[in-house]
Amino acid sequence: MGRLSRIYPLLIVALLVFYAVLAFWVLHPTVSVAYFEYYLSGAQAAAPR
Amino acid sequence: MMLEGEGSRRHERLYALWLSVGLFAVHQLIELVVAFVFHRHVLDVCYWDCKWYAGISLHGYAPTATAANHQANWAFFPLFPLLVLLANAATSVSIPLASVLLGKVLFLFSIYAFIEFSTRYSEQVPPLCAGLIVALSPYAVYGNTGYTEPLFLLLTCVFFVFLKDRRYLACGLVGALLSATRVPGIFVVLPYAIVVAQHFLPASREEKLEMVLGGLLIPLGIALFMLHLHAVTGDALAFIHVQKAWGRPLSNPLAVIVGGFEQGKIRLIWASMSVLALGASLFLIFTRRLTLGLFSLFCTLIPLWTGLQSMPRYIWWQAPILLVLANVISRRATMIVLMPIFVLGLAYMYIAWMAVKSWVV
Repeated sequence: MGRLSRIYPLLIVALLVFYAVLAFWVLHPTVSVAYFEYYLSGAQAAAPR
Repeated sequence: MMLEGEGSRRHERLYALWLSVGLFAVHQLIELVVAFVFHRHVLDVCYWDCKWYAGISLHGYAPTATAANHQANWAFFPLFPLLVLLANAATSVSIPLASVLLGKVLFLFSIYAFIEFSTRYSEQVPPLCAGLIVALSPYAVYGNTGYTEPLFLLLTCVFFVFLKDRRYLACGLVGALLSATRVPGIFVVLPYAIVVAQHFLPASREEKLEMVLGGLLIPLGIALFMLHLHAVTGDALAFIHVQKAWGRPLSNPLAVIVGGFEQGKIRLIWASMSVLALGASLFLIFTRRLTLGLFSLFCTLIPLWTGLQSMPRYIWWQAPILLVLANVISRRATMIVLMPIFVLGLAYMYIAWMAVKSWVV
């Protein structure tokens, strides 16, 4: 194995962890039916921040 | 013998490069003539989506939608505005002008990349036919208007060339850029998966790791965009949800096509184009070009979910569809009939663009 390819397993694990965090922490709440309906109603867009 | 082959390849590349420059120049001339006749400036063409992208380059993604129509710039992917920002920093020209100029540069590169792509995937297509179909098709207008289409075509062609050479890490890196360019960019993961599935078992351990890493890199662009949207708006899927603000709720693609045929006029043309694009995708699949066909099928079906309005842009800047068209005009008779129609169509599109007609958006 080349020098660079030794870090491939590390990069693979890092990407998997990143996607898992994204899926469960960031993405999961937004794909729920309730959130989708709330958004489609226009309330999210109109809500003051 | 080897040197002879390399010399011939270099000669072919040089020919493709000059051909691209020549066809690009012909396209610019057509735009110049239309602009001259209609008293417009060729660099003052940043309308519609170009303004949205310029807004992202200037101010970033908005934390809230506009109160009036609930529209926001979340629907527009970040790679092109990021490149515009870099071009602006490097040259200090205004953002709208940098968008148009960068679009032109990417358009030139995309013509060359498509010629390279077509020689790899369809040897019988002459480079001239490949170049003509990209540079002078009616919807090539978006190559000059500060849109993201040339970047998408360029990256798609580069991706498929790397995939043909089975350079998995390069595919992963280009795929990551593609998934940050526009929604269909993520679908390069399908042809990638097909090629990997065919070669995974006999591959060495190092190659297997490269295959897995390359595949995992492809969604990185869209993942980072979603993370940014989450930080700014609180909704990682804002780019999908905001479609409603343009009157584009998610619908059944088949119903969208049937609706287009029923409504007639321009929507009839868009629906016909969509059917032809789906037909071309199936043609590629059934002629054993599964990687290209599957990519095109998804690149056509998924945008159809949100309606017909932008379908021409999604269809006419897809490398596999353009490859089918390049094959069609490879026959002398079809080229003589189709190319004048295409060039007239391109001039007409410029007239519509400079008159800021909403159907050309």
